[in-house]
Amino acid sequence: MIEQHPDLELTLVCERDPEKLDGEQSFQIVREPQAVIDSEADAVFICTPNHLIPELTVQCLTRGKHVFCEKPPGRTLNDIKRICDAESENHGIKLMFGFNHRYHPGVLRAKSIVDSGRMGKVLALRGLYGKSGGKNFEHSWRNDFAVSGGGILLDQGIHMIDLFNLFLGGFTSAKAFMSNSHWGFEVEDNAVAILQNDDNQLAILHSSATLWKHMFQLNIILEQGYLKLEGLLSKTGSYGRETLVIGRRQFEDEAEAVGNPSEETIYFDRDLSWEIEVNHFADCIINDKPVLESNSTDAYKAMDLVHRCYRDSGFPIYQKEVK
Amino acid sequence: MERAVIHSDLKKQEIQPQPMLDQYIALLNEDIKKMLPAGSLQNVFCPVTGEQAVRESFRKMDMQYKISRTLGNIYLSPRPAMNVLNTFYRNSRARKFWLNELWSQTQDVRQDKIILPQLEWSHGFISQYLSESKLLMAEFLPNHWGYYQGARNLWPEAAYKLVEPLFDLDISDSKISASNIIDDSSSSTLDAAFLFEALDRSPEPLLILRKVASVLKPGGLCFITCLLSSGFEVQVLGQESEIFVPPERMNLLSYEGMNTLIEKVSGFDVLEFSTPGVLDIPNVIKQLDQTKNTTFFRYILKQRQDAELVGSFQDFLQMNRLGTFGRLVLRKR
Repeated sequence: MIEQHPDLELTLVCERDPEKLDGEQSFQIVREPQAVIDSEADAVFICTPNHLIPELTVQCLTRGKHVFCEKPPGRTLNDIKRICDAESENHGIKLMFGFNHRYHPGVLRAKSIVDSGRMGKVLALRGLYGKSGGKNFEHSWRNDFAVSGGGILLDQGIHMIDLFNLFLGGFTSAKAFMSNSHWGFEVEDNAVAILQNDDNQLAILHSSATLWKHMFQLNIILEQGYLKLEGLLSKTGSYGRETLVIGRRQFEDEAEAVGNPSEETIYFDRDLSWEIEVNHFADCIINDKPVLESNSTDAYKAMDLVHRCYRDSGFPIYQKEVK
Repeated sequence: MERAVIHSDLKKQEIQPQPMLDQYIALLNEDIKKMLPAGSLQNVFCPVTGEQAVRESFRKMDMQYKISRTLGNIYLSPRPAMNVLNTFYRNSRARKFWLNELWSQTQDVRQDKIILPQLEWSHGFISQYLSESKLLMAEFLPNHWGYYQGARNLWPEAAYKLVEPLFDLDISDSKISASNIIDDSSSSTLDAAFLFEALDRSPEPLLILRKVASVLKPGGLCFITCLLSSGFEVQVLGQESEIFVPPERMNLLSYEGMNTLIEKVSGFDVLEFSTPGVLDIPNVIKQLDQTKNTTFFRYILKQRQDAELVGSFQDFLQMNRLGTFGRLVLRKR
C-alpha cells in the first residue's frame, strides 16, 4: 500500500529476521527499531507486538515523525494515554490507528445507510468475531500476557469494539464475561460483552479464539429494518465472502411473518480498506489536515471499553497491572 | 465490483394490469403504423461496436430487431432518430394512455416497489461517495416524472434536472416546472447522473454515456438501470418474450455488450453490476408454456413444485448476473 501510493516512498523496514523478506528489496533493512527512529523518514508505520507499540510511537512522535500505529494501541489504558500525551505535545504531527474494518466495503455501505436516517435509529448491535485457532496458535505471542496485554478481545475483538463505537458513539455501561477454558492461556480465549449507552442502545459482542472457522458477523437492528454484515474480504478469503443484507421492517402482524422476507444482499468483491486507510493518512500529512477518523480519540475509546470489560469480568489476570 | 441479490414480491400484474397492458399495446401498434413509417427510420449497426454482422433478426409490432453477432446485443434497426422519437413520444396516444391511465392506476405500487427502492439504492452510494451538501443531479431521457417526484422527497436540498425528457410536460399537469429541464450541461458540473432505462430507449446509447461522462464531476456517480439480452428471459423465451416493445425498448445490450459500452466510454470505474430482477413465476410459467424447448425450466419452475428450488434458482441467476434487469453504478475517475 505504501509503495502503491504516488506520494509515499518506502525507504526503511525494521525486521529482526531479515531472511523473512524474500528477494531483492528497494528499501533498506535494519534490525533495530532505533535505526528507524534515528532515520530521515517522515512517517513510520508501527506494526509490532503490543508491548513495543507505546514506546516506539511516543519516540517517533517526539522526533517529529508522523505515525500510523497498528491496533491495539498498546497493552493498557496507560499506554494509549502516554501516546495521546505525546501527540498533544507534538502539535502538527499526524497520528492514525489501524482500525481498517471501518473501511471495509460492507461497513462503509452500512454506515452510509445508518447515517442517512432512512431506517431510523439504531436500537442494538450484535457482533461475532472469531478465529479458528490454528496449529501454532498456542505458541503465538498474542496469547502471552506480558507481550500482548490481553487475549482475543484485545487482539481481534477490539476491531468490533471500534465498529460498535463507530455506529453508536460509545457506551456508558459494560458487563463482560471471559473464559480461557479451552486453550488455558493466562488470557481469555472467549469474551462476551454486553454494552449499553445513555440512549438505551444495546450491543452484544462475542469475541472468540475457538470458533474453528474464521467468522465475522455484525447485525445492526434499526427502527425500520436491519442490516446484516457477514464475512470479510481478505487476501486468503478465510472470513468468507463479504456481504451486507438490507432488510426492511415489513409486517406489523407477527402471524404474517415469513421465513424469507424481501431482502437485498450485496456481495462485495473488492476490499479497499488498507488503501483507503493509507490514502487518508497520507492526505492528512501532505495537506496538513487533522486526522478525523481512526484517530487517538477512537483508539482511546476502544481501549477504554476493552479494559472496562476486562475489569468487569473479574478475570484474574486483568485485576493486576501490566509491568 | 459488487453485485446485489434481491428477494422481492413484485408481480407484473401489479404494475401492468393485463387489460390495461393490452390496451396500451393496441394503441402502440396503431401509433407505430401512423407515426413511424418506414421512410422515417434509418438503418443502424450494433449501437455499441458498429458491427454489421447479425446472428438473426425478428419483427415485433412491425419493427425489426437485430441480434449482433459478437456480443449478442439486440437492437432496433431501422430505428427513428432522436427528433422523430421526440415527436413520437409527445404525440403518441399510447404514451398518453400510459401516462394518464396506466400510471395513475399503478403509481402507488410503482413508487413503492420500483422507484423508491431504486432511488434508495442510489442514495446508499451517494451517501458513501459524495460529500457535497447541495448536490446537482440529472436524469437523462426520462419518459415519466416518477423518479423526479421520488428524488425530491429523498434529496430535498438537491437540484434535480431532467435532460431531454421524452414526454410531453403538458401531460404532467404542471408537476414539473420548465426550470427543471436542461437540454445540456456544461462539463464537469454534475454530482450524479441517472439513466433509468435511458440507454435502452436512446437511439445513440454510446453518445448518451459519453455525454454523461463529460458532464459528471470527477468522482461523480452514474446510476444505470437497463434490460439485458443476456438475461434469463431473452435467453430462454427468445423473441417470444414480452420484453420487446418498440420503439421504447430500442437497445437491449448483453452483459458483455454493456461492459464493452462502458469500456468504450473510458474514464469510468464500475462499482456495481448486478441483475437483481426477480422472476414473476406465474407470468414466466405462462410464457414458458407457450414456448418450445423450455422443458427443463418448466420442470424447475413448475413441475417440481419446490419453492426452495425456485428461490435458489432465482438467487443463482442474480448471483451470476444472468437476470434480465440490470443495474450499474459507475464512478467517474
